[in-house]
Amino acid sequence: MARFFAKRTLTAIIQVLIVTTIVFFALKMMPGDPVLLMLSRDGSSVDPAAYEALAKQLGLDKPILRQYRNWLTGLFTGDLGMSYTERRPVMDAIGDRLPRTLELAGASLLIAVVIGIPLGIAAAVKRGSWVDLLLTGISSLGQSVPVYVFGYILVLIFALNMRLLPSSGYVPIHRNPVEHFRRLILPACTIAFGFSASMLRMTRSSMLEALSSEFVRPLYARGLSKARVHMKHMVRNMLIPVVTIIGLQLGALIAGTVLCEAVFNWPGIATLLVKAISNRDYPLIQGCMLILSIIFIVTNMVVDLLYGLLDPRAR
Amino acid sequence: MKASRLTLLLTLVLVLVVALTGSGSANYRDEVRIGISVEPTTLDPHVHSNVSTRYILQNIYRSLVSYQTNGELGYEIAESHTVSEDGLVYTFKIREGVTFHDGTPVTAEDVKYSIERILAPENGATFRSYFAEVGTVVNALDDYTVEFVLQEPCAPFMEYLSLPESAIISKKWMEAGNDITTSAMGAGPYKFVGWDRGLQIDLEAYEGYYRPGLPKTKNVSFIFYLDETTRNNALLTGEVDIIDYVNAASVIQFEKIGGVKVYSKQGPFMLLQFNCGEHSPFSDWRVRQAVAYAIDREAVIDTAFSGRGKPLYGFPTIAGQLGYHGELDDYFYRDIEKAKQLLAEAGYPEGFTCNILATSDYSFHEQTALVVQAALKEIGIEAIPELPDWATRIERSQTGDFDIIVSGTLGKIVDMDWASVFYKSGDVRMDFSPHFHDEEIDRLLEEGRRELDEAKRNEIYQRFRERALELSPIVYICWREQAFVTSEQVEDFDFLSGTLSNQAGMFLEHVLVKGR
Repeated sequence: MARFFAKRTLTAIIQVLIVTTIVFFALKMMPGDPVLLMLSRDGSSVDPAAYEALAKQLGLDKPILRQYRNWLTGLFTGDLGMSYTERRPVMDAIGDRLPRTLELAGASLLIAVVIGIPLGIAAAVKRGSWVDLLLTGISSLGQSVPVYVFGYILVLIFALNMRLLPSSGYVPIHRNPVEHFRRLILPACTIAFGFSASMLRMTRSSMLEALSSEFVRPLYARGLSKARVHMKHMVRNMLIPVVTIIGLQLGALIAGTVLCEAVFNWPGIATLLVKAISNRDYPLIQGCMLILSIIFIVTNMVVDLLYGLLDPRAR
Repeated sequence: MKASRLTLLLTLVLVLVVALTGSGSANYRDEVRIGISVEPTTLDPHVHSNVSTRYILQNIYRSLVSYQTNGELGYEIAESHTVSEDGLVYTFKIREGVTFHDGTPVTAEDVKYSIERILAPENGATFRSYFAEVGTVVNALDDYTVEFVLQEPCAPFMEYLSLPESAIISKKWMEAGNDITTSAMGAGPYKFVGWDRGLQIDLEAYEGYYRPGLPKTKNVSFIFYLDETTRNNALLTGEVDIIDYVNAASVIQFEKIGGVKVYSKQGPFMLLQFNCGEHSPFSDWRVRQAVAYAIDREAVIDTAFSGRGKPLYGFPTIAGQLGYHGELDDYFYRDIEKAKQLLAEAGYPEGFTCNILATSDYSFHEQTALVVQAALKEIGIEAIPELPDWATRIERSQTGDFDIIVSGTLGKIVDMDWASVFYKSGDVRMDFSPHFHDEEIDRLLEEGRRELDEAKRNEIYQRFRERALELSPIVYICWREQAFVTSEQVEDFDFLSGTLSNQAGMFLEHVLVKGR
């Protein structure tokens, strides 16, 4: 297990390095000059002296390989540089935004699991009934409706018409905890809708598989009750594919926050990345991509490890 | 028992009276929340990064003079001024008792420091060239008298000083090592409280503000709402009281829904610039005029601005202003035959292929490009739309990497001298058709700026406008609206039309929000 863990960690580090290197050079090839962008605001021509001063200040006057080396050195000393648009260290910007995205993603995941798994089990147990039809029907809808459509529908119903919840925004928890959580509900439900749908379908099909598998009949033969068989023996087996789907979908979950954060004005890392790209804020883009790729790779790793725990054969 | 009942009654009445009178003064909220479309990337007041940032900074910083809410130039930090006979020396008296938010008085030294900071090229001040071209030298004569000495007369000099980017900053505060890009300290009605990145900027009324009784509301928050639909919804649900940059389609929606106040004024104009370089077909004025005759301005307004806008067939000076009486308003008209004829005369009877650069970040830019493309096709010009993101579009406009480009902009100052940035030959820059060069236009713009006699200036600029349309390095399409929407509780909000629509911040110190 320790060796397995060490091997996976090493691969993960190499993966992160490859991703950030690609991002670094892709950025340099992307059209759009951050210095021009910061200076050419209102029609006036850009003064060469001002251009040079700013390029130097941002370290963009150095050759690309040198810039890359500087960034790598920074990476290993925990310094990701200064953001051009936030005008503070990239680490601080990400430190502010990442917890908000994780909070949103976590809340969505929680809602999706709480809704998706029990309903999936119910659909499987009542296979072919109207309950099953209804649930699978809604879940196809959930999987196919884009986040921004469903988000605006929720806003329309709960904020604009019923006036139950705020339409958007973010209030730091230390300022007002109640308002903080009220603003979390709609975006979290928006992401959870699609996510719980795929969770429901996955749970349903793996539960069906478990129901028809061979180890079930002897359990009944030993006189165990139906509920006990379902809950104790089948759920554990069924959880393996479900954990996989959660892990695989975490990436999609983070990606889903991009649109959701925009729709609900939720200031997380996704909106930060979008802002960074549209301003060609190189250090900030690199920083965000670094963190996001770490999240991706680490979740995959954790899924691998969880696999080992749930299924001894995978160890 | 009776006595105590009477006391109780009296107490109740008293409580009621207190409550009522109390609510009389508490009728207005102590906070106004504004949903703005952009998060600032710098708080440096000498850099114009975008109109929304200017809207915030106008409340923190003030210049010596500025356009007032009645549309006239008026004093801010200055209380009076004189101009020497030859128009070369401007002497300002600073209003005594004007203080920065740290309580220190604003002195001539601060004014000198501020303008010299703008003049230093490495600071990247947006309007540096305005002051540099006329060779501005600033002298502090005593604590409250400051003098500007110019190398040549400059009729619009007061306008340069009135720009929000000519803000007076504190020398002492700067020398104490404060970062002016992330923090702010001026002499305006509101002081800077904090910038919560990704969320909002908070301001608080400055008690020492030089206009007694203002600002009317104690706290102002600018909340960043980048998504348009989300911003609109935030206003409808009362998350914010005021929103900026409401587009035409949303204005129509808001007017239909009602229950809000819509403020819509004539704002920026849409235009086409051309690459006038030697090898480009657009180096020939006949080709540019052909475009001016070919494009369907009404179709642009209908498509890109939901029918809200005013076609511009001449020069963007409004009749009745700046000595102009509307003579050129119908200079162009839609005439495909005439356009074809002009193209043939220029040597392109079969037309040619070129690109038209816009951006997909703003749908009205994109749609304008597509409508123009369709019109040009009718005269044989195959204009291929290129729609990169805004950052790429900016870079390409600054390097002249396009044949035709779609722009939406405004003159930076009210005076006709605004046209200098757009027409005077020189480096490639955003609001200019690259490589365009005409000696007469250069001369007229120089003369116009130097001439101090109003009547003579009007003549010069009339000739300039004719020449500008004749050569058409820039083809104007239409005026579009600038719109704000507020909740019904907001009182005394407003802004001005045209160039001054970009200085809406001057009105905020008057704004009140009724309690709900």
